[in-house]
Amino acid sequence: MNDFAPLTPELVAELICLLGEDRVHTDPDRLRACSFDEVAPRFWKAPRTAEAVVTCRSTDEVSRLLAFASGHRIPVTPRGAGTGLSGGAVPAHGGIVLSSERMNRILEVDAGNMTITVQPGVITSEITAAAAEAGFLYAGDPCSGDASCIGGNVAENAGGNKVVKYGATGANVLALEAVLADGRVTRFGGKRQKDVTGLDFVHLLAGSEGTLAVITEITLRLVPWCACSVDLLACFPDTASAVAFVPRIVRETGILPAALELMDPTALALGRRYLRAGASPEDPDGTGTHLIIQLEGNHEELLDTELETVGGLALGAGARQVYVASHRHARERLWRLRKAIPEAVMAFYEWYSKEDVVVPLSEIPALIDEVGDLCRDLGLRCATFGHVGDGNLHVNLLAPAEHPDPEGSLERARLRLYAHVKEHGGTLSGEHGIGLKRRGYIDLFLDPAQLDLIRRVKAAFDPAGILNPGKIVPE
Amino acid sequence: MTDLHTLLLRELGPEIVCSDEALTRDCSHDESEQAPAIPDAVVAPTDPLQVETLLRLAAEHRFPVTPRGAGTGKSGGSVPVRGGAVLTLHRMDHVLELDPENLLAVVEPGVTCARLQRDAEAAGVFYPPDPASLETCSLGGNVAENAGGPRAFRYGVTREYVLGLEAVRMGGERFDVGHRPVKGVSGYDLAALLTGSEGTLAVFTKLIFKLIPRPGEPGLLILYFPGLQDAVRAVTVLVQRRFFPMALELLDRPSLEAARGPGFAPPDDAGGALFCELEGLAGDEAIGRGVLDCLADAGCPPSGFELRRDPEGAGAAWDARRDVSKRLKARFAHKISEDVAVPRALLPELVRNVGEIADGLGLDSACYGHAGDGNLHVNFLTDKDPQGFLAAVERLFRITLLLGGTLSGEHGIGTLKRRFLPAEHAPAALAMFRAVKRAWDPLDLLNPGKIL
Repeated sequence: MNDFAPLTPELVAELICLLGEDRVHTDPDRLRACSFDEVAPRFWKAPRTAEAVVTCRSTDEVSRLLAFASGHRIPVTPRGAGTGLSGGAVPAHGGIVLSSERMNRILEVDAGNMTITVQPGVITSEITAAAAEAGFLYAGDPCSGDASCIGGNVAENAGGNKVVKYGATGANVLALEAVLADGRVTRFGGKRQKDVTGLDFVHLLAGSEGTLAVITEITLRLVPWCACSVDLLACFPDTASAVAFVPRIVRETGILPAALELMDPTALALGRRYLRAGASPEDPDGTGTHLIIQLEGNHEELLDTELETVGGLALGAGARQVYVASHRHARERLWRLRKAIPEAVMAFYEWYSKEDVVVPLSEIPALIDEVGDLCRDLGLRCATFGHVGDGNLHVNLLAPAEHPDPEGSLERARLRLYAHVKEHGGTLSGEHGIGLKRRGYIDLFLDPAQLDLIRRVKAAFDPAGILNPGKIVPE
Repeated sequence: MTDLHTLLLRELGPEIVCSDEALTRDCSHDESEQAPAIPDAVVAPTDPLQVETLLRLAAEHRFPVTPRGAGTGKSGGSVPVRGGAVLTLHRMDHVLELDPENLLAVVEPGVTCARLQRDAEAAGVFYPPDPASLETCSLGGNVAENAGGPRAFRYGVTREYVLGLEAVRMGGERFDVGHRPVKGVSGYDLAALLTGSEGTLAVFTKLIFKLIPRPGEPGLLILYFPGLQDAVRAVTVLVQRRFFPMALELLDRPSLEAARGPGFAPPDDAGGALFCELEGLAGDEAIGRGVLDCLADAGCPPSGFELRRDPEGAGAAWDARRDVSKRLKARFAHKISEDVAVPRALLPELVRNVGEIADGLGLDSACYGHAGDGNLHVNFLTDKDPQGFLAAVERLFRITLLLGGTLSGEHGIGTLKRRFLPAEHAPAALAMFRAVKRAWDPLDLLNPGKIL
């Protein structure tokens, strides 16, 4: 099906005519830079490189580009900030990388309707800041929020730290403007909170990884800030007791935290080393597993009660210590460590595999044991951290430098991990996406009938298959 | 007896293929103004294999199939307008799992919304969606229509609670989509696509719902205002000042009159009211005081209020609210009900326009509904010739779209609104709806004549 045309110098010249010289980039450094995301380049057996990078500045330019690409059967891979963790932005079949970097304006903050409308290239944290300035919270909160683009967040249906309470990115999207593969521009949804007029393409496009349409404008739902919030750090002697505690919070107290994050000893040690931080006072011997439990509310006294309740429950469940961080400095210190872990893995290991599995809460303890076993069997280490309140664990499989067969062992570890996740009723990716990295494994999780339906939707949207080819489903 | 009936009797048996005339008549209509259509056969399966068989036969013999929940829809979605078979799922009504630890429930599509709510509550958890018909409507229908209800204001619509589902496509192929954990991005979000697709893409045979912790025992604060616009303004004030009640419902004067009854007696001078359901109010009266102080502080205090902190008192008022539609129907010879939604801050504009449209055409009107969402049930009413309805609806839709709104917030498009779809959606969007429908159901046999 994928008999794509190469982007010949003649076609590049045509593209320049169409969009202008300053929109079309072909210098090799730029092409290389736009051919990877944050998946280690060595992961790709046959690395592909973009043949041109195009930086459109308007919906109209995107429309002209896609009409051109459709006409000539040239693949187009949309790209945000390149912070993805599934190879979604890797131009698997070469062709054009369409970068959203110049479509980076916040178009409107509508306080009356509590919405913000932005172009796809806006950095996530800029949206958070603009919303805060207007007195609202934008609840999307991926760990890479200081660097990632909102367009990428929507394309991947990014999760992050506030999913427990506010849902993933997709849940916060009210409307999209999108350019279809043939260049037609259309809109789905609007500033209304509810809409059942026609099929729900807003939430179909969210998480479609740039394979169905190119998103050119996004309207997001904002929510009122809670008046007060606080972070609890609960230090457990081991991971087993920490994860056994997690489902008890909601079950026994009825309190839904705004965030609920896990860091195991290996993850904590990596994070501390990366930040050049010494042993923390909370955990002097560095053997503990930590939970960050964020609580928020509008009544100080009520929040204090909740804090006592959850803290007391943690101590009763075996936590060695529970610390309360209510001041900015202390809270930032907690979260800085949490957010440093993904970077630390890449800094200190040459061979690793960042997994993003998700299982029902009750299954986490068993999965943690199984991960321990498989790592022991295969001579690997493991740093496990992430959004434990969602059942979403970033299991980072790590091969020590002296490992004789890191690549083969990581692959065997992945397959064993996926088999366990499947048994527990979980799925392959909670928030990073399938992309290029996981498409070879998706048929372990989705039945052939569902894969067929996915292919049918893809073909309906993009009959020529030019939009981000090679992603999600095996070819 | 139709040929189709005979064929299905042979293939599926008399247990499943219904010969009961009353049931066949029931399956010819829903609760909308859509004219009834008698199906050629009615199939009432008890397990997914029978659904597979029916949809395989339908593709082979090319007859239409219209899936049906409880028939409480308001857009003609379950009316078999092209004949063929009605596939009624009311016998598939088992709660298969209720798992408070993982905060999920797995149910068959025929389970009613109220049953899931009660089972969840008994297990110490909460299923928020609450369409007005909750006692009778089925969850399969709720998902097919992406039903809303008063609590959608704070908790979101049905879609936000659908984690995954099992369904059968035209042709008989059964598949699973979604996931049991609260998140998952493996492949497209086909659960979101199927939610609200009005039975045009697949027939649901199993639903996985997300549950949430039970909120503090709520109570109801009813706020009365001199005029409707005062009530509408209060919605914006409350939201802007971070009050997110569990429900925030608006009733105009005619709706209040319709709601009046033994359990609910609004003051005669009230021009509008808000039903403000507050978490924890049952146990703490001060929570209601907070709302009243906030409104007074913002310069829009209610002219009167009622605190109903006990479940019976609150329940009686909610029953009155849920009956407004029925009672309006009884009070007027002719009624047409719409379900538009606009950006919340533009609700005053919409309400003002509804009054002008009705006045201009010599009609009565009643507006009530989910003000917190900007979703208003606009009713045009008359005891005389209803010929003005058409112009009224067209004007209503025109102003709704001008305000950046949508034709339907929760009732769906079905048969009744489909001719207006091109007013809201660009040709490219409509073309994509059609393309997806065709990709899943190339012969247009599953719930034909709906949406598109």
